[in-house]
Amino acid sequence: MIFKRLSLFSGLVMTLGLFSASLSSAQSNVVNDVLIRGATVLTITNGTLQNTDVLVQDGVITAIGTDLRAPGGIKTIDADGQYLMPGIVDAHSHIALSSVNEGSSPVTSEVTMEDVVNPYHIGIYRALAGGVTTSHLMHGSANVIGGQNETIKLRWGMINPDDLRFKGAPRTIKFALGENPTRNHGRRGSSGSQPGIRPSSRMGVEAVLRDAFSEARNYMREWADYESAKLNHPRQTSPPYNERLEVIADIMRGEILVHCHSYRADEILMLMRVLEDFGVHNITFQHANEGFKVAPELAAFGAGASVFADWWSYKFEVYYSTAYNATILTRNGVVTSINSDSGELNRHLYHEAAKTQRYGDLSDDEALSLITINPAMQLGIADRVGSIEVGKDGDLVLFDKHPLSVYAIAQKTFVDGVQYFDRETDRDDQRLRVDPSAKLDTYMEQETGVHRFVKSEYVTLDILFEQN
Amino acid sequence: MNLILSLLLATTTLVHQQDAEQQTAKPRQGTYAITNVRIETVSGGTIDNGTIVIKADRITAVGTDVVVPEGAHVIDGTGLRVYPGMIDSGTRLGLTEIGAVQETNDSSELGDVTPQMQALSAINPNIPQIPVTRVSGVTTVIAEPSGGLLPGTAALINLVGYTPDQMHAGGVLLLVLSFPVNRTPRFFRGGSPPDDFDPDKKYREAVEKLDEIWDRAELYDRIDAAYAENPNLSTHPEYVPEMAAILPVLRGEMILMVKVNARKEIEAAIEWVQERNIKRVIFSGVSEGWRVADKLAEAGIDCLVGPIFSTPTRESDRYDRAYANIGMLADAGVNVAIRTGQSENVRNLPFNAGFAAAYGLGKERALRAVTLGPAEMFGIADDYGSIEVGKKANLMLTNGDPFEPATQVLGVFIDGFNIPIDSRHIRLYEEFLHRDEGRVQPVQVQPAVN
Amino acid sequence: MTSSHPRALYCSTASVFAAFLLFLPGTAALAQRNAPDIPAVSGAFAIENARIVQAPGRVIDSGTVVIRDGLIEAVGADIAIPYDAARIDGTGKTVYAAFIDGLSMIGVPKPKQKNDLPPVPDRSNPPDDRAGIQPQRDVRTLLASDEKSIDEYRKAGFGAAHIVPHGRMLPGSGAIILLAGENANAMVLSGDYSMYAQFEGARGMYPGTPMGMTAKMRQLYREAERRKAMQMNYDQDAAGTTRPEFDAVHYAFFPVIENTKPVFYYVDDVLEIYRALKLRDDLGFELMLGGLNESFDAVDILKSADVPLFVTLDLPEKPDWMKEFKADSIQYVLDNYDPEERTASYRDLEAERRNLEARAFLTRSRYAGAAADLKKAGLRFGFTTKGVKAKDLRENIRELIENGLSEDDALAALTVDSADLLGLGSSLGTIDAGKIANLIIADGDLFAKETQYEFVFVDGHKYAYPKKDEEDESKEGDDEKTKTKTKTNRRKINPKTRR
Repeated sequence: MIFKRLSLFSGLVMTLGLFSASLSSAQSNVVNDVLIRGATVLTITNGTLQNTDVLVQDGVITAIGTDLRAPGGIKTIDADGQYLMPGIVDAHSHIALSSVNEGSSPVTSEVTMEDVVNPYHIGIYRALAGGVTTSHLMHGSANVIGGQNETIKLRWGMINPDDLRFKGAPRTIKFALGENPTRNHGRRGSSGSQPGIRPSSRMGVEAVLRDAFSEARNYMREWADYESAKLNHPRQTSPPYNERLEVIADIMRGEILVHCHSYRADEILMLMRVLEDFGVHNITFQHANEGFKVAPELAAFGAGASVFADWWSYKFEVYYSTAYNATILTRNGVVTSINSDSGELNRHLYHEAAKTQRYGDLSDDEALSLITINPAMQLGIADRVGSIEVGKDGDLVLFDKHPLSVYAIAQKTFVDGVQYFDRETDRDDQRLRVDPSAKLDTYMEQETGVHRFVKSEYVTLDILFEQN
Repeated sequence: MNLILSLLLATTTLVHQQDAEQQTAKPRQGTYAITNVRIETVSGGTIDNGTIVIKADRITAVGTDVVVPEGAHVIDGTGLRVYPGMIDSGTRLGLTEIGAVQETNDSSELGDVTPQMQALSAINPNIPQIPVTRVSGVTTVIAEPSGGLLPGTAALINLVGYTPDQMHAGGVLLLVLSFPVNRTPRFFRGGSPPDDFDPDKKYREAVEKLDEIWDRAELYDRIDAAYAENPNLSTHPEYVPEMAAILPVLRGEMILMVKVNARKEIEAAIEWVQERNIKRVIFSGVSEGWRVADKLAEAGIDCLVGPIFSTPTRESDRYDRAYANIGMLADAGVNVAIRTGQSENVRNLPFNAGFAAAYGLGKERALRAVTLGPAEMFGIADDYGSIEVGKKANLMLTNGDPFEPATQVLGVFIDGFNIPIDSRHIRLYEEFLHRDEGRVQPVQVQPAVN
Repeated sequence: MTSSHPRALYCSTASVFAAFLLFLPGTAALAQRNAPDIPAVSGAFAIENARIVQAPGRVIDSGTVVIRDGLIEAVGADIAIPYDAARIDGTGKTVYAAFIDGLSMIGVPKPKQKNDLPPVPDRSNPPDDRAGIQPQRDVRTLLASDEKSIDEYRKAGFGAAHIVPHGRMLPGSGAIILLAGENANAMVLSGDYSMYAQFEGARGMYPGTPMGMTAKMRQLYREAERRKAMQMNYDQDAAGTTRPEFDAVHYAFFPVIENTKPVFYYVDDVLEIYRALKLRDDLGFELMLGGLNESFDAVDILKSADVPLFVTLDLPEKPDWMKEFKADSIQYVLDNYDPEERTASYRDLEAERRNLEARAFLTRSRYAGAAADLKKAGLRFGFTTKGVKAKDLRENIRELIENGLSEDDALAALTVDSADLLGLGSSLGTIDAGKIANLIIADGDLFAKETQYEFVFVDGHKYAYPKKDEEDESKEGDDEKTKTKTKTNRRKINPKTRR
């Protein structure tokens, strides 16, 4: 018996060796040079270039032109008849996270998604297969001031969370207004074992915001006073350290961009007033279903809007929505993006962007800007991604047809010049790891493009609240 | 004013030139002729430069050699195309208004065995979702109840009308059976399933329960039939509305719509409907249909597939499985139709069809899967699903491929009603695109301090 | 089991007071079992004619171990047996150092689930104890010498353990105990040993998630640093200085900040490994890691992290389908594994199934091979039994060995390496004179399935675990079904990171 087992397992170990080697090859021999030849290049910022070559060297676009000469040995892809666009930037995502909401407190600025990035999540590959190369991993919307978000690149196969980070991307933080924070904290009803706390109304939301900013301002003053007093009185007692207020102070210092879950026009205006009072100007309104109603005010404030293509009526605060939102905002000069907020929608953001040509009249470049250069601007990474320009990162996606066509299928996706998706050659089973305790034919409930409101009675405090 | 709006307006103006005094745009029947238009009949190929004549609720003429009747509203279709109105084979449209507001949700009733619940009775003909949907060219949908094992009876409705009777399309009703599932739900009261949660056991119990229901329904059928044959000899059947609601299925008068997704459950459902000798049956959902496509084809069971916009059913599955499933079913010889499973966004049906087309179904079969395909499955192909003389006037007029997002739907006819291209979404667009136009004082907006 | 320890006698860990125990060699198990009240007359034992594995690779083929008053007095091939020693015939038996558990809750009763706790007034700022932040607790105060787990693990060969309190994010401070002693105090070898931490969130209040806990840890640590500075200031010269307010939670961090006490993090999966290391790098405390499931995906980073590791002896639960597999069919599945195979239609389902099976088997072997991988990378580690039933331990260890860990390396991890990593190298881990008498006397190879640990000495106390009746034995040995049934690896892979 023992002999049998041993022989079995020695075989097993051998196979295992092969297996690990095949997995890690993507990392050890990273090829980040590529020449893509003869594509129709949708640069976004510089129009459409027919039959053009794009050269990526050491992860960066080094040349765009015709008949580019490839340095020796560089991988060349014949993209004749295909369409090359910049990698898609998803400004609102919850893929690749171990947890989404620290929903236990109305203000949780001290938490950060950086701590919970999960590189094993299959949603990364599925998004790549839809041309996404950058995702903004956001805290959930349970709290008025939620956690700090993390911008990642979809380097599928890297298993150290750190390797997915978009190095150099500015810090961002999640805020949330309206129904979600009020329901989660103030209007708990029978859904939680603990009593409700403020906010239970949109007035309360404003109060929580003003309190937090005011406390942080006091905190900054106390520490400044302490630092100066210390010069003369070295035995001076320091004020308490507060990680939460440190982060809010950084927002006021302009070091953190605010991304705020919001729906109604009134609450959008409210936040702009509050931010104005505390000198904060970096703001993108997420969802902003009623953003179209206050588009002139958004434009004047310099606020961005990151919206859905067509989601509405799944809850009361999105009842008076219009699928023409992105068009109205764009026409009023608001920097606008279309995001997914969904592990289903992020697989076809190019199609979501195309809907603005049915619900409005955006040009091809305008429509594609909604998922490339505009979200890049909202995330503070437009100098690196969002368009095909020399000097920018080699984040590219190749489609067989124009990406705004419903029939377009992404063929290859590159991040930093490294090919992470290939429709032709990729194996079916892309899991980076397997649950060895699972049944073999486990049917997973599908995510659909339908926004399903998670009924609060099914939700405990530890798991997701409505994420968006 | 942008191009599309002016196009819309031109069309509306043209159609309604004689109703200029009418302030409210409302659906109107009459005599209409769409001329010089490319006609995609679905049943009989493409007719270029043709004319369609609509009188009251019917198509009365189709072809290149058609005389426009006197007094007809003429719509110049030059450069445009006409398609049959699209049918969504599975929605909650009309049964729910605002997802999170329970008071507006009427698609599910308490209890596991409620087949007598009638979706048709709870459809609100006046909700904004209906105009939002139909201006996309979706003219007809299945509105289905959900919830328990036998949640009720679904209905096919046209997206025009003020009463259930006016909306009910072809009298189509389908009894819904949510086939038992063997799986642990994603969300649980209390967060995670209890330690002793046993999906196998729950599944077995549910199948046993279904069998017991069916045994009783068959008994009820015999009692009812005996009484009908000889009212003097038998006592009147008891009032059992649950069983009465199942009778039409037992007698082959109504379709049983079996909602089923996982492979093993599809196999079990095939076996079950065969054992029970269900005469008219359609499967709905069928997200793992490709795994058993041969068995479905062999059993000759039609499938309402979707939503196409879904993630794969298994983590190990190829990423595009849900897009490709329907094409794989069709390749195996299964008759397919598309369902969105949506309520407020049934307007995405053409895009579901477009993705299905791109990932293997092909454009022609995809078009069929949202028109004539489902009409045949529901037994109403004499009236619906294609552009033919004598059929119901359910049509859409577009400036291009209806599955392409950039295409505009410029006109819609449902049951012969010329549908105004108007919805809350369009109105908000018109009002807010240039919000402060017409304002005398300049807008008081403080520019940002940078 | 029976302890030969007379209840009336008190026995300290360092054997300051001797336990006078007496059993004649060859005394029947029955007698031991039925006579716990026979007074002991000597604290000395001699195990003679035994094979002695002093440490991995250091073997005396036939020799004697003399124990006196809790310590090993002498060991060697040619040792005179003291007149007052109780003699144990070691013929045909092997003596090993008893095992050391790097992290467990042995002897710490699990608190009863309290469902009737009153709601907290503000769940965003709950009392520390309700939030699971109790670093000031001391496991020594929670230890119960009559807890049945002590004997279960001792029977499995464990003589010492690093134990910690049950709880959530910061359950309290750990202690090193010996698995013997008349009362809790007698068991403690070293107290206030570590600050135990894990990623277990508060229920329904702050902090409830991994990110909440990492943030809270940073807040606690940095505020504790500030308070410590204030306290030092005050201690230097109180005059004219505001008196710092005592706070048990923050003050519990002081030795951690001074690096005199490590933070012992239990990390359940690879992402938790990263989280704990990042906290260490941000805050600068001494770190020890236990658990390390999925360490196979973090070998390089663990190598550069240079922290003591205590690898779990747990293995993923086998799903039903896997249990049904016979060895040769596993090999068939593995031989036919083709990850590049496409499932293009229903016709390919058979191949798909085979591939899925193969990946599951390969994955299981990655878990079972994790310890071997660490060894191959040159890392030293101990083991932790947290979450593993005592009766499953040996079979799990065997599976680690089948997956590439040598028996010597397994023994080292259970004894000498554990002792060194816990800083106990001078008193535990090998069979050398002067060390604490923690020994296993086995009737066969240490990890073989049928081997019985007939005696386990802990702190010089003898515990006898007589071999079961022949009848029972044959039953257990032959019946395949019984075997699979008795093996219950309960643990499921943490779903947190699977999503």
